[in-house]
Amino acid sequence: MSRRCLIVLAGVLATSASTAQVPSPLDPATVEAGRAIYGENCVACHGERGQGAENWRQPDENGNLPPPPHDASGHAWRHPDAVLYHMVLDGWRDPFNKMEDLTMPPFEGVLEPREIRAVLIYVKTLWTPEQRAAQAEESRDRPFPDEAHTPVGHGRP
Amino acid sequence: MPAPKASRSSARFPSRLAGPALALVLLASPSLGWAEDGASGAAVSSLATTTDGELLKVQGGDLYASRDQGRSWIELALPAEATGRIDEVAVAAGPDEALYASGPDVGVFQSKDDGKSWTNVGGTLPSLHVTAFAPHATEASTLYAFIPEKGIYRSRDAGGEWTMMARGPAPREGALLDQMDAVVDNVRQFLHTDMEGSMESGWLYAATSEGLRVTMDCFCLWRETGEFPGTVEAVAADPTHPEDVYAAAGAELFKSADGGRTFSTAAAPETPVTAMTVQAGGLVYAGTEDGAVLVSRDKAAGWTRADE
Repeated sequence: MSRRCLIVLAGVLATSASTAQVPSPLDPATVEAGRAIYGENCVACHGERGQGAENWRQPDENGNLPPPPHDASGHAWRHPDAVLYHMVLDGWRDPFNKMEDLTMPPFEGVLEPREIRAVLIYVKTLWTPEQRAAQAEESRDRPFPDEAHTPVGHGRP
Repeated sequence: MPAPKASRSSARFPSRLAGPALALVLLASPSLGWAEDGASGAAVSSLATTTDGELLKVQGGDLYASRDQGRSWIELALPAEATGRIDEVAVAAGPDEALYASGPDVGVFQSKDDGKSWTNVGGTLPSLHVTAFAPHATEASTLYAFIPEKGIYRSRDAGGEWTMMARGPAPREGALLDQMDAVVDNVRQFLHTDMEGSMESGWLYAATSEGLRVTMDCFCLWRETGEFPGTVEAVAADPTHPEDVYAAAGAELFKSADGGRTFSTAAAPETPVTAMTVQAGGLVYAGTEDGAVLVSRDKAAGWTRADE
Protein backbone atom coordinates (compact mmCIF):
# COMPACT_ATOMS: atom_id res chain seq x y z
CA MET A 1 0.00 0.00 0.00
CA SER A 2 1.40 3.34 -0.99
CA ARG A 3 2.21 6.04 1.56
CA ARG A 4 -0.36 8.32 -0.06
CA CYS A 5 -2.93 5.58 0.20
CA LEU A 6 -2.24 5.11 3.89
CA ILE A 7 -2.57 8.82 4.52
CA VAL A 8 -5.87 9.01 2.67
CA LEU A 9 -7.21 5.92 4.36
CA ALA A 10 -6.23 7.27 7.75
CA GLY A 11 -8.00 10.49 6.91
CA VAL A 12 -11.17 8.64 5.98
CA LEU A 13 -11.08 6.67 9.19
CA ALA A 14 -10.28 9.65 11.33
CA THR A 15 -13.12 11.64 9.81
CA SER A 16 -15.53 8.75 10.10
CA ALA A 17 -14.65 8.32 13.73
CA SER A 18 -14.56 11.97 14.57
CA THR A 19 -17.83 11.93 16.46
CA ALA A 20 -17.37 8.50 18.01
CA GLN A 21 -16.52 7.73 21.61
CA VAL A 22 -13.35 5.87 22.55
CA PRO A 23 -14.43 2.23 22.44
CA SER A 24 -14.68 0.38 25.73
CA PRO A 25 -12.09 -2.34 26.36
CA LEU A 26 -12.99 -5.78 25.10
CA ASP A 27 -13.49 -8.46 27.76
CA PRO A 28 -10.36 -10.69 27.60
CA ALA A 29 -12.24 -13.89 28.40
CA THR A 30 -14.77 -13.23 25.66
CA VAL A 31 -11.98 -12.39 23.24
CA GLU A 32 -10.22 -15.67 23.97
CA ALA A 33 -13.44 -17.66 23.61
CA GLY A 34 -14.13 -15.86 20.35
CA ARG A 35 -10.62 -16.55 19.09
CA ALA A 36 -11.17 -20.29 19.59
CA ILE A 37 -14.57 -20.17 17.87
CA TYR A 38 -13.06 -18.21 14.99
CA GLY A 39 -10.33 -20.83 14.65
CA GLU A 40 -12.86 -23.62 14.37
CA ASN A 41 -15.47 -21.97 12.16
CA CYS A 42 -14.11 -18.98 10.26
CA VAL A 43 -10.43 -19.52 9.48
CA ALA A 44 -11.01 -21.72 6.44
CA CYS A 45 -12.63 -18.86 4.50
CA HIS A 46 -11.53 -15.64 6.18
CA GLY A 47 -7.94 -16.61 7.00
CA GLU A 48 -6.00 -17.20 10.16
CA ARG A 49 -5.38 -13.51 10.73
CA GLY A 50 -8.63 -12.37 9.21
CA GLN A 51 -6.88 -11.47 5.98
CA GLY A 52 -9.66 -12.86 3.74
CA ALA A 53 -9.27 -14.37 0.31
CA GLU A 54 -6.85 -13.01 -2.25
CA ASN A 55 -8.51 -10.60 -4.69
CA TRP A 56 -11.59 -10.51 -2.50
CA ARG A 57 -12.77 -7.40 -4.32
CA GLN A 58 -12.99 -9.28 -7.60
CA PRO A 59 -16.22 -11.27 -8.07
CA ASP A 60 -15.72 -14.82 -9.37
CA GLU A 61 -17.14 -16.18 -12.63
CA ASN A 62 -20.54 -16.54 -10.98
CA GLY A 63 -20.57 -12.97 -9.79
CA ASN A 64 -20.03 -14.08 -6.23
CA LEU A 65 -17.67 -12.31 -3.89
CA PRO A 66 -14.79 -14.23 -2.31
CA PRO A 67 -14.62 -14.11 1.52
CA PRO A 68 -13.55 -10.61 2.53
CA PRO A 69 -10.98 -9.81 5.20
CA HIS A 70 -12.17 -9.12 8.71
CA ASP A 71 -9.05 -7.27 9.74
CA ALA A 72 -8.43 -3.55 9.38
CA SER A 73 -8.21 -3.83 5.58
CA GLY A 74 -11.74 -5.16 5.34
CA HIS A 75 -15.17 -3.66 5.85
CA ALA A 76 -16.64 -5.58 8.78
CA TRP A 77 -16.00 -2.54 10.96
CA ARG A 78 -18.41 -0.52 8.87
CA HIS A 79 -21.35 -2.58 10.12
CA PRO A 80 -23.08 -2.29 13.50
CA ASP A 81 -23.22 -5.21 15.90
CA ALA A 82 -26.79 -6.15 14.99
CA VAL A 83 -25.96 -6.43 11.29
CA LEU A 84 -22.82 -8.48 11.92
CA TYR A 85 -24.68 -10.75 14.30
CA HIS A 86 -27.42 -11.53 11.78
CA MET A 87 -24.87 -11.91 9.02
CA VAL A 88 -23.33 -14.78 10.96
CA LEU A 89 -26.64 -16.20 12.22
CA ASP A 90 -28.62 -16.04 8.98
CA GLY A 91 -25.93 -15.92 6.33
CA TRP A 92 -26.19 -13.55 3.40
CA ARG A 93 -26.68 -13.78 -0.33
CA ASP A 94 -25.07 -11.20 -2.55
CA PRO A 95 -27.80 -10.31 -5.06
CA PHE A 96 -25.15 -9.97 -7.76
CA ASN A 97 -24.38 -13.66 -7.22
CA LYS A 98 -25.71 -15.50 -10.27
CA MET A 99 -26.07 -18.75 -8.32
CA GLU A 100 -28.65 -19.57 -5.71
CA ASP A 101 -25.97 -20.37 -3.14
CA LEU A 102 -25.55 -18.08 -0.19
CA THR A 103 -22.45 -15.94 -0.29
CA MET A 104 -21.96 -16.33 3.45
CA PRO A 105 -23.32 -19.54 5.02
CA PRO A 106 -25.64 -19.29 8.03
CA PHE A 107 -24.40 -20.42 11.43
CA GLU A 108 -27.80 -20.82 13.03
CA GLY A 109 -27.80 -24.18 14.79
CA VAL A 110 -24.01 -24.26 14.60
CA LEU A 111 -23.13 -21.43 16.96
CA GLU A 112 -25.04 -20.33 20.05
CA PRO A 113 -26.00 -16.64 20.19
CA ARG A 114 -23.34 -15.96 22.82
CA GLU A 115 -20.76 -17.72 20.63
CA ILE A 116 -21.65 -15.50 17.70
CA ARG A 117 -21.24 -12.48 19.92
CA ALA A 118 -17.89 -13.79 21.21
CA VAL A 119 -16.49 -14.40 17.76
CA LEU A 120 -17.50 -10.91 16.67
CA ILE A 121 -15.88 -9.40 19.73
CA TYR A 122 -12.71 -11.27 18.84
CA VAL A 123 -12.92 -9.88 15.29
CA LYS A 124 -12.98 -6.38 16.77
CA THR A 125 -9.45 -6.95 18.07
CA LEU A 126 -8.32 -7.05 14.43
CA TRP A 127 -9.45 -3.46 13.81
CA THR A 128 -7.73 -0.18 14.52
CA PRO A 129 -8.88 1.88 17.52
CA GLU A 130 -10.41 4.39 15.09
CA GLN A 131 -12.36 1.67 13.33
CA ARG A 132 -13.55 0.24 16.64
CA ALA A 133 -14.68 3.69 17.73
CA ALA A 134 -16.58 4.26 14.49
CA GLN A 135 -18.17 0.81 14.69
CA ALA A 136 -19.18 1.41 18.31
CA GLU A 137 -20.90 4.60 17.20
CA GLU A 138 -22.76 2.74 14.45
CA SER A 139 -23.76 0.07 17.00
CA ARG A 140 -25.25 2.52 19.45
CA ASP A 141 -28.69 2.26 17.85
CA ARG A 142 -28.19 -1.22 16.48
CA PRO A 143 -26.51 -3.32 19.20
CA PHE A 144 -26.29 -7.08 19.51
CA PRO A 145 -29.71 -8.66 20.00
CA ASP A 146 -30.64 -9.01 23.66
CA GLU A 147 -30.52 -12.79 23.62
CA ALA A 148 -26.87 -12.66 22.73
CA HIS A 149 -25.88 -10.66 25.77
CA THR A 150 -25.22 -13.60 28.06
CA PRO A 151 -21.46 -13.65 28.56
CA VAL A 152 -19.59 -16.73 27.48
CA GLY A 153 -19.24 -19.14 30.40
CA HIS A 154 -22.32 -17.80 32.20
CA GLY A 155 -24.82 -20.42 31.12
CA ARG A 156 -26.74 -21.09 27.98
CA PRO A 157 -29.59 -18.82 26.91
CA MET B 1 -49.10 15.39 5.74
CA PRO B 2 -51.93 17.03 3.83
CA ALA B 3 -51.06 20.64 4.67
CA PRO B 4 -47.71 20.82 2.91
CA LYS B 5 -49.21 19.20 -0.19
CA ALA B 6 -51.83 21.91 -0.44
CA SER B 7 -49.20 24.53 0.09
CA ARG B 8 -47.00 23.01 -2.57
CA SER B 9 -49.71 23.00 -5.19
CA SER B 10 -50.63 26.60 -4.72
CA ALA B 11 -47.06 27.73 -4.51
CA ARG B 12 -45.79 26.01 -7.60
CA PHE B 13 -48.76 26.40 -9.87
CA PRO B 14 -50.09 29.91 -10.16
CA SER B 15 -52.73 28.62 -12.59
CA ARG B 16 -54.76 27.81 -9.52
CA LEU B 17 -54.86 31.47 -8.62
CA ALA B 18 -57.51 33.78 -9.95
CA GLY B 19 -56.57 35.54 -13.18
CA PRO B 20 -55.80 39.05 -11.83
CA ALA B 21 -53.93 37.64 -8.90
CA LEU B 22 -51.87 35.50 -11.26
CA ALA B 23 -50.90 38.52 -13.32
CA LEU B 24 -49.81 40.36 -10.20
CA VAL B 25 -47.76 37.42 -9.02
CA LEU B 26 -46.01 37.09 -12.35
CA LEU B 27 -45.27 40.80 -12.59
CA ALA B 28 -44.01 41.01 -9.06
CA SER B 29 -41.89 37.92 -9.19
CA PRO B 30 -39.81 37.53 -12.32
CA SER B 31 -38.60 34.16 -11.11
CA LEU B 32 -42.11 32.73 -11.29
CA GLY B 33 -43.62 32.41 -14.70
CA TRP B 34 -44.63 29.98 -17.39
CA ALA B 35 -41.73 28.72 -19.36
CA GLU B 36 -41.79 27.26 -22.83
CA ASP B 37 -40.58 23.70 -22.53
CA GLY B 38 -37.10 23.52 -23.98
CA ALA B 39 -37.23 27.13 -25.04
CA SER B 40 -33.61 27.65 -24.19
CA GLY B 41 -32.54 24.50 -25.98
CA ALA B 42 -30.16 23.78 -23.14
CA ALA B 43 -29.67 20.21 -22.03
CA VAL B 44 -31.83 18.88 -19.22
CA SER B 45 -29.29 18.11 -16.52
CA SER B 46 -31.61 16.61 -13.91
CA LEU B 47 -35.12 15.21 -13.50
CA ALA B 48 -36.98 14.20 -10.34
CA THR B 49 -40.49 13.24 -9.34
CA THR B 50 -42.57 13.53 -6.21
CA THR B 51 -44.91 10.81 -5.00
CA ASP B 52 -47.94 12.81 -6.11
CA GLY B 53 -46.71 12.92 -9.68
CA GLU B 54 -45.08 16.31 -9.84
CA LEU B 55 -42.14 16.43 -12.23
CA LEU B 56 -39.09 18.63 -11.65
CA LYS B 57 -36.32 19.46 -14.05
CA VAL B 58 -33.11 21.47 -14.15
CA GLN B 59 -32.38 22.98 -17.54
CA GLY B 60 -29.71 25.52 -18.25
CA GLY B 61 -29.20 25.99 -14.52
CA ASP B 62 -32.84 26.89 -13.96
CA LEU B 63 -35.39 24.90 -12.01
CA TYR B 64 -38.85 24.05 -13.32
CA ALA B 65 -41.87 22.07 -12.13
CA SER B 66 -44.71 20.42 -14.00
CA ARG B 67 -47.91 19.04 -12.60
CA ASP B 68 -49.25 17.70 -15.89
CA GLN B 69 -46.58 15.12 -16.67
CA GLY B 70 -44.36 17.54 -18.52
CA ARG B 71 -46.89 19.20 -20.81
CA SER B 72 -46.32 22.60 -19.20
CA TRP B 73 -43.77 23.99 -16.78
CA ILE B 74 -43.36 26.81 -14.33
CA GLU B 75 -40.03 28.17 -13.27
CA LEU B 76 -39.18 27.97 -9.58
CA ALA B 77 -37.01 30.33 -7.62
CA LEU B 78 -33.40 29.30 -7.21
CA PRO B 79 -31.50 29.50 -3.92
CA ALA B 80 -30.57 33.17 -3.66
CA GLU B 81 -27.32 32.33 -1.87
CA ALA B 82 -26.15 29.89 -4.52
CA THR B 83 -22.87 31.08 -5.98
CA GLY B 84 -22.89 28.78 -8.96
CA ARG B 85 -25.12 26.95 -11.37
CA ILE B 86 -27.64 24.40 -10.15
CA ASP B 87 -27.14 21.06 -11.88
CA GLU B 88 -29.30 18.66 -9.92
CA VAL B 89 -32.66 18.56 -8.22
CA ALA B 90 -33.80 15.73 -5.96
CA VAL B 91 -36.80 14.92 -3.80
CA ALA B 92 -36.24 13.36 -0.38
CA ALA B 93 -38.29 10.51 0.99
CA GLY B 94 -40.83 11.07 3.73
CA PRO B 95 -44.05 13.05 4.06
CA ASP B 96 -42.37 16.44 3.62
CA GLU B 97 -40.62 15.47 0.39
CA ALA B 98 -38.03 18.20 0.85
CA LEU B 99 -36.42 19.46 -2.34
CA TYR B 100 -32.66 19.52 -2.71
CA ALA B 101 -30.70 21.50 -5.28
CA SER B 102 -26.98 20.99 -5.81
CA GLY B 103 -24.18 21.75 -8.23
CA PRO B 104 -20.41 21.80 -8.63
CA ASP B 105 -20.08 25.35 -7.34
CA VAL B 106 -23.19 25.35 -5.21
CA GLY B 107 -22.98 22.76 -2.46
CA VAL B 108 -26.41 21.62 -1.30
CA PHE B 109 -29.57 23.65 -0.67
CA GLN B 110 -32.84 22.43 0.81
CA SER B 111 -36.37 23.73 0.44
CA LYS B 112 -39.25 22.61 2.61
CA ASP B 113 -41.76 25.01 1.12
CA ASP B 114 -41.76 23.85 -2.47
CA GLY B 115 -38.98 26.09 -3.67
CA LYS B 116 -40.22 29.35 -2.19
CA SER B 117 -37.23 29.54 0.12
CA TRP B 118 -33.98 27.65 0.32
CA THR B 119 -31.62 26.82 3.16
CA ASN B 120 -27.95 26.07 2.71
CA VAL B 121 -27.46 22.57 4.15
CA GLY B 122 -23.98 22.07 2.73
CA GLY B 123 -22.30 24.43 5.13
CA THR B 124 -20.36 21.74 6.93
CA LEU B 125 -19.18 20.08 3.74
CA PRO B 126 -15.50 20.79 3.04
CA SER B 127 -16.24 22.23 -0.39
CA LEU B 128 -19.02 23.53 -2.63
CA HIS B 129 -17.79 21.20 -5.36
CA VAL B 130 -20.68 18.73 -5.18
CA THR B 131 -20.84 16.86 -8.50
CA ALA B 132 -23.30 14.18 -7.44
CA PHE B 133 -26.04 14.13 -4.86
CA ALA B 134 -28.81 11.73 -3.85
CA PRO B 135 -31.27 11.42 -1.03
CA HIS B 136 -31.82 8.02 0.60
CA ALA B 137 -34.67 6.05 -0.95
CA THR B 138 -36.60 5.68 2.30
CA GLU B 139 -34.89 7.68 5.07
CA ALA B 140 -35.99 11.32 4.81
CA SER B 141 -32.95 12.75 6.60
CA THR B 142 -30.21 10.69 4.98
CA LEU B 143 -28.35 12.34 2.11
CA TYR B 144 -25.28 11.52 0.04
CA ALA B 145 -22.98 14.02 -1.66
CA PHE B 146 -19.82 13.50 -3.69
CA ILE B 147 -16.92 15.94 -3.70
CA PRO B 148 -14.32 14.64 -6.18
CA GLU B 149 -11.23 15.82 -4.36
CA LYS B 150 -12.54 14.59 -1.01
CA GLY B 151 -14.95 11.69 -1.26
CA ILE B 152 -18.49 10.63 -0.45
CA TYR B 153 -20.20 12.37 2.45
CA ARG B 154 -23.32 11.21 4.24
CA SER B 155 -25.66 13.23 6.39
CA ARG B 156 -28.22 11.60 8.62
CA ASP B 157 -29.83 14.82 9.77
CA ALA B 158 -30.83 16.39 6.45
CA GLY B 159 -27.56 18.23 5.99
CA GLY B 160 -26.86 19.41 9.54
CA GLU B 161 -23.69 17.35 9.76
CA TRP B 162 -21.81 15.49 7.07
CA THR B 163 -19.48 12.55 7.63
CA MET B 164 -17.00 11.30 5.09
CA MET B 165 -17.80 7.67 4.33
CA ALA B 166 -15.46 6.62 1.52
CA ARG B 167 -13.32 8.00 -1.27
CA GLY B 168 -15.57 6.82 -4.09
CA PRO B 169 -15.58 4.40 -7.00
CA ALA B 170 -12.10 3.44 -8.15
CA PRO B 171 -10.92 3.84 -11.75
CA ARG B 172 -10.80 0.63 -13.77
CA GLU B 173 -7.07 0.53 -13.36
CA GLY B 174 -7.33 1.48 -9.72
CA ALA B 175 -9.30 -1.38 -8.25
CA LEU B 176 -6.26 -2.92 -6.65
CA LEU B 177 -5.53 -2.28 -3.03
CA ASP B 178 -2.38 -0.29 -3.70
CA GLN B 179 -4.39 2.24 -5.69
CA MET B 180 -7.45 2.43 -3.51
CA ASP B 181 -7.04 6.17 -2.98
CA ALA B 182 -7.75 6.82 -6.65
CA VAL B 183 -11.28 7.61 -7.71
CA VAL B 184 -13.06 8.06 -11.00
CA ASP B 185 -12.56 11.66 -12.11
CA ASN B 186 -16.11 12.35 -13.06
CA VAL B 187 -19.02 11.09 -10.95
CA ARG B 188 -22.02 12.69 -12.61
CA GLN B 189 -24.91 11.35 -10.62
CA PHE B 190 -25.82 9.29 -7.58
CA LEU B 191 -28.94 7.17 -7.19
CA HIS B 192 -29.97 5.47 -3.96
CA THR B 193 -32.42 2.57 -4.01
CA ASP B 194 -33.84 0.24 -1.40
CA MET B 195 -33.41 -2.89 -3.47
CA GLU B 196 -33.20 -5.93 -1.21
CA GLY B 197 -29.97 -7.72 -0.47
CA SER B 198 -27.87 -4.88 0.93
CA MET B 199 -26.00 -5.51 4.15
CA GLU B 200 -27.23 -2.10 5.25
CA SER B 201 -30.26 -0.18 4.04
CA GLY B 202 -29.88 -0.02 0.28
CA TRP B 203 -27.65 0.57 -2.70
CA LEU B 204 -25.89 3.57 -4.14
CA TYR B 205 -25.36 3.76 -7.91
CA ALA B 206 -22.90 6.17 -9.48
CA ALA B 207 -23.08 7.29 -13.11
CA THR B 208 -19.46 8.01 -13.96
CA SER B 209 -17.10 8.74 -16.81
CA GLU B 210 -16.05 5.10 -16.52
CA GLY B 211 -19.38 3.34 -16.60
CA LEU B 212 -21.95 2.55 -13.97
CA ARG B 213 -20.84 1.58 -10.45
CA VAL B 214 -22.83 0.31 -7.51
CA THR B 215 -22.12 -0.31 -3.85
CA MET B 216 -24.15 -1.30 -0.86
CA ASP B 217 -24.69 1.80 1.24
CA CYS B 218 -22.15 0.59 3.77
CA PHE B 219 -19.61 1.50 1.03
CA CYS B 220 -17.91 -1.87 1.49
CA LEU B 221 -17.17 -2.46 -2.16
CA TRP B 222 -17.83 -0.64 -5.41
CA ARG B 223 -18.37 -2.85 -8.38
CA GLU B 224 -18.87 -2.11 -12.03
CA THR B 225 -22.23 -3.10 -13.42
CA GLY B 226 -23.31 -3.32 -17.01
CA GLU B 227 -20.93 -2.92 -19.92
CA PHE B 228 -20.62 0.79 -20.49
CA PRO B 229 -17.18 1.59 -21.88
CA GLY B 230 -17.65 5.33 -21.66
CA THR B 231 -19.63 7.85 -19.71
CA VAL B 232 -22.97 7.00 -18.19
CA GLU B 233 -24.91 10.25 -18.30
CA ALA B 234 -27.89 9.27 -16.20
CA VAL B 235 -29.23 6.46 -14.06
CA ALA B 236 -32.72 6.01 -12.61
CA ALA B 237 -34.77 3.31 -10.93
CA ASP B 238 -38.44 2.66 -10.32
CA PRO B 239 -39.04 3.58 -6.67
CA THR B 240 -41.66 0.85 -6.31
CA HIS B 241 -39.61 -1.77 -8.17
CA PRO B 242 -35.99 -0.80 -7.50
CA GLU B 243 -34.74 -3.77 -9.50
CA ASP B 244 -35.87 -1.87 -12.61
CA VAL B 245 -32.87 0.31 -13.38
CA TYR B 246 -32.32 2.51 -16.45
CA ALA B 247 -29.02 3.90 -17.66
CA ALA B 248 -28.24 6.32 -20.49
CA ALA B 249 -24.83 6.15 -22.16
CA GLY B 250 -23.98 8.09 -25.29
CA ALA B 251 -26.79 7.68 -27.80
CA GLU B 252 -27.97 4.46 -26.19
CA LEU B 253 -30.34 3.56 -23.41
CA PHE B 254 -30.28 0.41 -21.33
CA LYS B 255 -32.56 -1.19 -18.79
CA SER B 256 -32.15 -3.84 -16.15
CA ALA B 257 -34.78 -5.88 -14.36
CA ASP B 258 -32.36 -7.22 -11.74
CA GLY B 259 -30.84 -4.16 -10.14
CA GLY B 260 -28.06 -3.87 -12.68
CA ARG B 261 -26.71 -7.41 -12.71
CA THR B 262 -27.67 -7.57 -16.38
CA PHE B 263 -28.72 -4.86 -18.82
CA SER B 264 -30.50 -5.07 -22.14
CA THR B 265 -30.81 -2.44 -24.82
CA ALA B 266 -33.90 -0.24 -24.61
CA ALA B 267 -35.38 2.07 -27.19
CA ALA B 268 -33.43 5.31 -27.17
CA PRO B 269 -34.77 8.76 -28.05
CA GLU B 270 -33.25 10.35 -31.15
CA THR B 271 -31.24 12.78 -29.05
CA PRO B 272 -28.86 11.59 -26.33
CA VAL B 273 -30.41 11.35 -22.89
CA THR B 274 -28.83 13.51 -20.20
CA ALA B 275 -31.23 12.97 -17.28
CA MET B 276 -33.77 10.38 -16.19
CA THR B 277 -36.30 9.73 -13.48
CA VAL B 278 -38.94 7.09 -12.88
CA GLN B 279 -42.24 7.85 -11.24
CA ALA B 280 -43.68 5.27 -8.87
CA GLY B 281 -45.56 2.86 -11.05
CA GLY B 282 -43.12 2.84 -13.90
CA LEU B 283 -43.62 6.06 -15.87
CA VAL B 284 -40.12 6.79 -17.18
CA TYR B 285 -39.01 10.32 -18.06
CA ALA B 286 -35.92 11.25 -20.04
CA GLY B 287 -34.44 14.69 -20.50
CA THR B 288 -32.32 15.15 -23.58
CA GLU B 289 -29.29 17.02 -24.77
CA ASP B 290 -31.46 19.40 -26.82
CA GLY B 291 -33.75 20.28 -23.92
CA ALA B 292 -36.73 18.02 -24.56
CA VAL B 293 -38.47 15.90 -21.95
CA LEU B 294 -39.82 12.58 -23.15
CA VAL B 295 -42.00 10.02 -21.44
CA SER B 296 -42.27 6.27 -21.76
CA ARG B 297 -45.27 4.37 -20.48
CA ASP B 298 -43.89 0.95 -21.40
CA LYS B 299 -40.56 0.73 -19.56
CA ALA B 300 -38.52 2.45 -22.25
CA ALA B 301 -39.86 0.42 -25.15
CA GLY B 302 -41.11 3.62 -26.79
CA TRP B 303 -41.00 7.36 -26.18
CA THR B 304 -43.18 10.38 -26.87
CA ARG B 305 -42.54 14.03 -26.14
CA ALA B 306 -44.04 14.94 -22.79
CA ASP B 307 -45.42 18.20 -24.16
CA GLU B 308 -47.44 16.51 -26.91
